[in-house]
Amino acid sequence: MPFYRQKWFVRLVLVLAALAGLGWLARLDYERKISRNVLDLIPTDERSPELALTRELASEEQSRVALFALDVPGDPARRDAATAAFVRNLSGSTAFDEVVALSDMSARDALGKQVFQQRFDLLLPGWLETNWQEYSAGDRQESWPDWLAERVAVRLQSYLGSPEALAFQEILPSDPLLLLPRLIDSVQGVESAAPTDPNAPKLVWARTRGSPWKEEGQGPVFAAVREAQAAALAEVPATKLRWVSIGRIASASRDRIENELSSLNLLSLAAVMGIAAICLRRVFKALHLAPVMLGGLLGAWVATTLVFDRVHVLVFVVGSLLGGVAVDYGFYLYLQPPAFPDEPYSGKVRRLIKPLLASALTTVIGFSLLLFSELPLIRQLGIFVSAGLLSALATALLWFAQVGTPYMETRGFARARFTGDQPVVRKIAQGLLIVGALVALGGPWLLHWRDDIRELEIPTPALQAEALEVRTLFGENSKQTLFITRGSDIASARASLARFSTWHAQEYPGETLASIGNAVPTPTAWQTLPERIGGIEMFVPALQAALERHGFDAAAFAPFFNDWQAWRAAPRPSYDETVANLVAVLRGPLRMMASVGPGRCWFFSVSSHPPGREPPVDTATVNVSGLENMNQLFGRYRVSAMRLSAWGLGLVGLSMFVLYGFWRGAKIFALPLGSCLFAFGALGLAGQTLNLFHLLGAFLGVCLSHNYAIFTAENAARGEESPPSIRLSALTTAASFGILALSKIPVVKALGATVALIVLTALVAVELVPLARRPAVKDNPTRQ
Amino acid sequence: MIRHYRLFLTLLLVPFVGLAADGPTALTEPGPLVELGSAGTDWQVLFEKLAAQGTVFSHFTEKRWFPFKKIPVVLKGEMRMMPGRGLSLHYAPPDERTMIVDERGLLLRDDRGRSREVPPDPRASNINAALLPVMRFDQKELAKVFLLHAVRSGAAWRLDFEPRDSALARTIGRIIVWGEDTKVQQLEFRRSNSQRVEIIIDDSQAGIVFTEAELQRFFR
Repeated sequence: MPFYRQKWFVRLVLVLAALAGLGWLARLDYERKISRNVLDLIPTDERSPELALTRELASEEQSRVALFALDVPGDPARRDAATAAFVRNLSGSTAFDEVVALSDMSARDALGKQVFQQRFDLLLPGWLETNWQEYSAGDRQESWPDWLAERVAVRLQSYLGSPEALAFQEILPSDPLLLLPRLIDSVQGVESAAPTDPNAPKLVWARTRGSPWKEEGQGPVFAAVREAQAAALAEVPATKLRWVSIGRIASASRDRIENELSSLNLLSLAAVMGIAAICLRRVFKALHLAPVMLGGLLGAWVATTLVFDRVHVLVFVVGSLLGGVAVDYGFYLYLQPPAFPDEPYSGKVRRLIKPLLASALTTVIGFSLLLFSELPLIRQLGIFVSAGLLSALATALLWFAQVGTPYMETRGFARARFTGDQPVVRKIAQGLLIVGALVALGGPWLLHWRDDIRELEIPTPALQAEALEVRTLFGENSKQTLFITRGSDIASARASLARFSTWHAQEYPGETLASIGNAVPTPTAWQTLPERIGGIEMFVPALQAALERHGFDAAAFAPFFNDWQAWRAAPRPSYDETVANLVAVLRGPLRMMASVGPGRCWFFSVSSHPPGREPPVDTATVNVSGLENMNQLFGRYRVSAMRLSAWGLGLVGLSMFVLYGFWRGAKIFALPLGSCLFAFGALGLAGQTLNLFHLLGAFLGVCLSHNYAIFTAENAARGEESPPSIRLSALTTAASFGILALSKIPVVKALGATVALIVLTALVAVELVPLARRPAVKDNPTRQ
Repeated sequence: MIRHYRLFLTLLLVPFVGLAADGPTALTEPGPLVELGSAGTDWQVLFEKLAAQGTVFSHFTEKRWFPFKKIPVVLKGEMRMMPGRGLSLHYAPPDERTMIVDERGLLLRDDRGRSREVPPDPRASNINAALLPVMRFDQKELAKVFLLHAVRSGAAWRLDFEPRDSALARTIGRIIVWGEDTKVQQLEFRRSNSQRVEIIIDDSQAGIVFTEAELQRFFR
């Protein structure tokens, strides 16, 4: 095909492909498609998908909570006035759904009143069932009503000696069965308590209307808080506000990552351009490499969004480093001089296609293995990088087909080669290689791995310190564990909570487990209630007699007997209706403790111990205390990635043996493997603690150094020097990733440092090997 | 429902545990109104002496009167008070338990040594603030919150603390302390005749040194 026609045909193909890709990306709903939620990193098939969904929904609810601490000087009246002004102003804002001063006891009172009114429906079934079990296990010499009445009187007598009896004495005439006092112990701790110190900060709890991950949950919220703070300041000028919300931290993190990445990227670009300016004769011709990277990234985005319904943003952050690998194909094609003057592009491609394909396909095979991971992030990365590399190679082949002169000349020193002609130089090179080998063999044994989900966070020290202060004031501490128990309906959620309570009592004896779910009867107790009640027709006179026997004035318990008779005479509500009435009165912080809805019923529980072992699957309960189980998850991510990386590396090595024979393949494979081991060894010797992102960085680094090994071997096979593309690629990659290693964002720092270290190691190895050889044993250029 | 929970625990722990005399006083009626804080009065001297009590150990008998119970519930136990560590009230078996009140709040400890913080009730903040000066016999602060009725008969005396705030008065009622010389003999938290707690203190020892084991067991 004449070059003119070829040029326009290729351009047409490139434009159509770009339009198709961009068109696909343009029609995506990014809010739905791209997730920033850490919970999306959790494998959905790890536990029941419904549980993962519930955790996400609960997390969404919790993430809307904003906590405020007002330090108001002055007398109580002024402190109250400033707090009231703050609450009033915040409540009037459309940015908040609910605002509650923690000292406002109306929500707790409403719950107490509701439980009291519903005490026979809510609490009696479980109480009766427990007593029935005890009665059934005994000798049954007394009748069931007489036995029960005697037990009530004895327990009441005993209870009056407890400290709590003085607090409950006013309701005991209505509740001699002690239904409410028993409940109190099992629900205490489910919400934050306001401090009793009169000079302590005033605490305010609020729930934002919009999601904190979106703009409507950030900008309007910040504006409303500023206005409310101004209102409090108008009352007491020295009022200080500390507050925490996910939206505030998310916004600060976003600003920080944008600032840092833009500055780092500019620095990185400057470094790359600087190296290009030094090594290339015509710097601006390097712009021909940009389409290769852009084509690779476009292909990666399109393929990933096509394959997955929802993609985590971390894939794009980590995957953006794909550009570093993709540009290698451009370098290799563009910097390779023609074999002879006027060599046609098709001839050049035929000459170079084997190393290009070998490099790309073996890397793709390696990353494709990640598709077998059970972890969504790893699978998504596998697709992203594989598709990106293939797209980059295709783009490179097509792009340079429509460039008039598909060759860019480097400056002389960039092509300069060194040999081990001088013994001193040779000895030094050999010594360095031996030291490198020792580091590679010994250093990795010293490595320490630790996975901490906080490394995904963007450090905002001031905000995080403020958040910790405020959360501590609200009573949150690391000694507590929060659990969520779900069910498709109320009954199944409550049944699961009962199983979880049993497990918890065995696993953590003596530790409390507070849950509003304890105010709800189990389905079993609810179903057996009619039978149990039917058997105690004579309970009232039996109880009156028992109370008198134990020194009580039975007449004083008239409120209980009246309520009992009224309840017996009234129609019995349904289970769902009973629980829904209770949940309907939950307001403020209590509202977060239970949810009733189609397919998404859950109860929160708070335990008095630090996070520990995950509850069994049949309890439908997960620990939502955050970091501990997430850290375990990330540990699993690393192990999974390491296992698959090892398989991938093995496949890459095998493909080298197949393509290049055993010895040559082994020599090629030794470079990426050795570079990676050296990098890990150096990090191990430096006492660095590694995590998942070092591993992912290493995978990318291995791909890059693998390219250098193949290109070097191919040139050597043709009797040519190592291509200058290796130096240029390695130097630019090391510069750009090295600058990323300066980042304060742990993920970016880990990736940048690892890739830069591996790539530099590979470059140094490529340069040192010829130096370490005696000239006499130089490879025969014609030997295969 | 639970609004008075913390209040009553606190009331129980008010450390009127000065050196006790032989038995309850016979002063049955409150005395006339006395202005607290008048320098040089006999009452001020008494308050200063009571405020200066150090480490104290005593036995006590507590009688709880409930409107629905014909006879009081009687509990026995040991009181320990130590400046800086707070007050410990250890109830004897069969329902053995310890209540500790200190600067950090209220703590309940069962017979197996398991401790449980009593969650604070925001509505009790004023009550706590009102009771703190009573615990310390702080005359200036007491004068802000309570009216004092006081009467003497020889060495015996009776102090009636009546909250100035009517809401507080409805909540905690009246605190009555009987004693002789510098010894507290009995205290009572009275909301009504049928709703009250009497604590009779006997066998008191002042200035004793608690062992490390006692400190660990009976204090936070």
